[in-house]
Amino acid sequence: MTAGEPAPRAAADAAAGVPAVAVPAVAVPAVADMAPEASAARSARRPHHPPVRRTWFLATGAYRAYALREASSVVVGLFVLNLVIGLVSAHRGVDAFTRWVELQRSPAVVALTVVALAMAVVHAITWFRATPAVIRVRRGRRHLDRRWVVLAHYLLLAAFAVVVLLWLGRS
Amino acid sequence: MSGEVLGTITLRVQRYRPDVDEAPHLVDYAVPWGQDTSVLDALTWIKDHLDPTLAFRWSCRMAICGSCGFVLNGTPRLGCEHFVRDYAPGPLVVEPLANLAVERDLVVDLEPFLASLERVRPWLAPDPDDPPGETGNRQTPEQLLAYHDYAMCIDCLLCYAACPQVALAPDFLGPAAITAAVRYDKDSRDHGNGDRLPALDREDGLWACTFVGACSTACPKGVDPAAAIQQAKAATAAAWAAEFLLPRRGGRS
Amino acid sequence: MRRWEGRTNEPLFWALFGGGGMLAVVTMPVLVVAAGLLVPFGVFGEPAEVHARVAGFVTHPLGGLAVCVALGLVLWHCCHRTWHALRDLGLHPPEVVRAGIYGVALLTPAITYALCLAA
Repeated sequence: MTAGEPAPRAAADAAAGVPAVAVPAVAVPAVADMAPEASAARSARRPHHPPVRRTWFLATGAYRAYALREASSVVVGLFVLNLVIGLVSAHRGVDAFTRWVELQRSPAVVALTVVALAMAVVHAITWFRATPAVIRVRRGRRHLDRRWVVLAHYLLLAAFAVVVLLWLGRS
Repeated sequence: MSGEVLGTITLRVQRYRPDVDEAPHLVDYAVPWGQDTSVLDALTWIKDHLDPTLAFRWSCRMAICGSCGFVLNGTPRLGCEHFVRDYAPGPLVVEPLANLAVERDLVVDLEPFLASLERVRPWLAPDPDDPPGETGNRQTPEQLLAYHDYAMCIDCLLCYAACPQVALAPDFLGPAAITAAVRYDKDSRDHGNGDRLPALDREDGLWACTFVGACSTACPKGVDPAAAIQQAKAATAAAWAAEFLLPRRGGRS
Repeated sequence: MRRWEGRTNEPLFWALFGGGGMLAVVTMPVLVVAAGLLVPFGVFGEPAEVHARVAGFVTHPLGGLAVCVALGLVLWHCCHRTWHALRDLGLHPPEVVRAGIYGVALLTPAITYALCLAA
């Protein structure tokens, strides 16, 4: 408040019908007058923005688990490409299909398959643990316990396994 | 402190005075501690006895105001509800909340978060066709359950310190802001879902979240912001589908 | 559709990602074991025998289509995560890269089905 300006509170009080209190007018020096060289208020703020480390996902156990989860999806995708080739081979006939099956037997592909299996398991387990966050079932005054949602997923997986094994196994 | 001194620990505190320091740096302080010395107490002791220029936020000392968030030995935690005895023999590294700009010492810039919060319209929007008026809003305990946990947020921003997307995606609303939106969207008394959608359903906005889940791990009040965000994704996808299939009735002007 | 600044197709992408994920977690572990280990190592007999058993469903135009769509959905899930993983690494790839990655998920089943019909 610069000197000479009527106190806004007194004016508001008068408008509201509140009796004004006699306050001796005090000359309050303006900020500008007190520091002549700082005519514009200078801020000393200099926020420091922490840099993002490229390898942030290696910093904690939780981040590393997340990185593994994301990587598992990429590997599963690569195995899908293998399946797609198998599908086309099956359409091409018995010989093409046999060649594809024999390719799966080669040591290099077996090694990749083992990795793919590990990644598929990681992928599935992390997904099972995550779905209760998305699928929240309200039952009266509580939510359905997470473990039932997770169990339902395991049952679906088991059911599909049974179907595939029966389908392949029947003679 | 009350009670006997059980030892002395080194607190390694990040200091940064923008008018004096080029960049933030760590400074060691030897702090005596007792059975009930919280990290906040230790910082206060430093300020009282060693260096009065140390700046940090605090208020309630009981994990309800959300002011005293720090990163303790790499983990986002509230200073008032964590105790030096659990960090002894130390050193205990005390840094400001990660992923946010540091104004000074342990004080971070909250303005981007407050802007995000404002964008999601965190208030009860009344039904335009039927304002509460005399009868008021009625709500059953079952309806309360839908959003109760999300309303427990104290805006401490530990979730922002934990979430890597806050650092990677500049326009990401962040866990607490999205949780606030979900808290109101799921409140049976609220009719503002359509108005919150543009803030959530945009580039980054809500979609920068990749369900790392670190936010829920960091949350001191059991809010589970990660779940809130996934629910928001599902609801937003449903709203998108509704609009796609029923362009006139699905969308609201 | 209402338009506002920054609105994208991400809701649709995410919904497909979710569907593909459900399909992937239920099917892929089994398929990796069956197609990658059990069948090649003769648990279900010679390749010719296995082919005789599966050809009925797999080579049927609708059966093949179903498999292509299912694998496509799984691939969409994987591509979605791949794209977001690139962003997690701090990269900001241009839109054409994004189109390419999701393109893999769309083109692979399409090309596969075309090849199946042509065979």
